[in-house]
Amino acid sequence: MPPLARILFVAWFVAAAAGCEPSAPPPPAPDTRTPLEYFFDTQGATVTPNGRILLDTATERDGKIEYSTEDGKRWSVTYSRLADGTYQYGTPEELTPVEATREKTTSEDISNEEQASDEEVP
Amino acid sequence: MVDDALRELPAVWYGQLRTLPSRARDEIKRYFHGKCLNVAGFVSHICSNEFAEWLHRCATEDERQLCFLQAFCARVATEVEILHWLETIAEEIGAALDDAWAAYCTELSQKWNSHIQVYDGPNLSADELTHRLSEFILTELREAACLAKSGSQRPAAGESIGKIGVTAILLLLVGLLGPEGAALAIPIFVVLAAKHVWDYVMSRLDDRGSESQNAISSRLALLGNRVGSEFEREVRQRITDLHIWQERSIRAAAAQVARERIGLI
Repeated sequence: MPPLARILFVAWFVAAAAGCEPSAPPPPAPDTRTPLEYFFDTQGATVTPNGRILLDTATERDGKIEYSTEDGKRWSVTYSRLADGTYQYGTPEELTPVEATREKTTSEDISNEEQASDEEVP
Repeated sequence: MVDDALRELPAVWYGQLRTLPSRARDEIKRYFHGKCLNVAGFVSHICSNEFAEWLHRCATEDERQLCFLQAFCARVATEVEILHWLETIAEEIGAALDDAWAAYCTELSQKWNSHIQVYDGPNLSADELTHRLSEFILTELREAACLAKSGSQRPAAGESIGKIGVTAILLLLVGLLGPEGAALAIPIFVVLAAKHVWDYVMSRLDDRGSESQNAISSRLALLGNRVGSEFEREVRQRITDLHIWQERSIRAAAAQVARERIGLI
């Protein structure tokens, strides 16, 4: 073996022994979506025994996702974040009409209601 | 005494049959609703080539269906979890049945005491009457549990006969599917309901596109509805059986009390 090749071989051997082997492909980046974003992205096609999930009604409140289903019922579900950044959901609780209307505190809801009441005035 | 006892009972029974089975149905549907939110992994698994190859290796239709149920229990809801959920619902409904029965027994003891007092017999306390009636019903429950046991089926209540209401509901049958030692214990009504989803999956084995995934997701939602309906029917049947045993226990206890307290009459 020529001296240069011998040096390169020794250098490669030392480097490999020191842990400088070509590394495995990096793990996939963890999912950084928020709970609500993840819910929007994954539940669009879900059909439940209460019908489809109406995604435009989904909100996050008190660490739970709230949403309505096609049958008009409103639900609140807990979630837990898994190691890969995805989410797992618990068994949803049905919200009573009083609990369901309590969510109407966003400025959008209030302004919509004000607009509706304005329109009713002759 | 029997007339007194049975006069108001049909109204109580009607109320129970009207509300409790539907409550059980809604609870099991809510449980499957939660499962539907986490179903993506299961759907992509049964739409995968790996699952199709696994099915092709099964020799019989029963083996294929077992593969499907195993995948369902591994990725959506374990059989232990399903049984636990059923037990929770049964406890809730059983407690309602037992509370109503205890209240009824208290009223009944007062009514029967008015008959007994005419003959100078000692009064019958509510606790004593409840105990007597319960003993009759427990005997019926044990017999029904023994009859329900067969080779691959057993009542969900198992060997233990505890509170009457819960045990009566948990007389629903559990089927043991698969090889001994590694068998899945799944309520028969869940297996019956799952068959519809299974038939659909089998019919779409060669077409496993994304649309198919959506369609299977819809079928799983239907599974929740079917399981709900089957469970409602089961609970109604179990409550009806309990009502029959309650009526028999009243007739038997009335005869017993009349013999003891009224004596020669």
